Amino acid sequence: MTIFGGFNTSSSALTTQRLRMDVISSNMANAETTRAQQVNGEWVPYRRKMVVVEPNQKTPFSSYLHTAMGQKGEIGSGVKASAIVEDQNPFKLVYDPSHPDANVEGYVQLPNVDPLREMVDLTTATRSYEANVTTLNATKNMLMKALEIGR
Amino acid sequence: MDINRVSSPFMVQNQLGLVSQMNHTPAQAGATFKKALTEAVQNVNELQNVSALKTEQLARGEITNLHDVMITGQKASVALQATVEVRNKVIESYQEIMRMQV
Repeated sequence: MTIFGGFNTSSSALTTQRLRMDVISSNMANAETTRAQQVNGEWVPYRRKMVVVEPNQKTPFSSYLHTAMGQKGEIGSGVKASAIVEDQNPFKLVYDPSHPDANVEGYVQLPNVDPLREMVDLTTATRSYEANVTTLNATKNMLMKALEIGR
Repeated sequence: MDINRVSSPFMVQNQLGLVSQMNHTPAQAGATFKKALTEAVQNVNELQNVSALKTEQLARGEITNLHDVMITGQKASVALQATVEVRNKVIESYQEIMRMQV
């Protein structure tokens, strides 16, 4: 880890939080989308998407080596989004016979997006972004303070 | 009293053979210093160039992460500050030596 290691770590976290924000925006935008994709000629509603986040290890070899040498405290280099997965919870069923995608009984399948939950995730992502910006600024302040040594 | 017993940091270094590293001619020392300085300045220049490139990409709309641009700028800024700090120290030493009474 060079002197800018902290910067790179924070940078990866910021990128990840931005991706989460993008996914949340997509969920919110598609909260009423009934025609996301076609399966066997039938329209299927939008499925809520989630980001899977994992630590950004440098290389598997170095982490194995560190474990073998009994050094547990490897810092790693930040975080990365490994996948975007779909929420497999069932769709919401709403009775609305006038809807173009209503079935014969008059029910419409709506996406399994809960706007309240998305708002909570949105706040989490925003606060996390802010926290990482604070970390970054603290890292920079530390470096600037180090430059004042012996002045 | 045996005067050879008087030890100084320089003699200790002599015994350890560390002095051979410091035993440069002025020209060699100058060349080493020049090389180190050039490398450091090139490094800083590299960071500045990357920062400029990212800013340009941002202006062209090719960049998706704004924080990436800002962080690159901050890195360049810190590196430049460090260089300026070293330069100040070097010039200070030079002036100190020039003020020395011979």
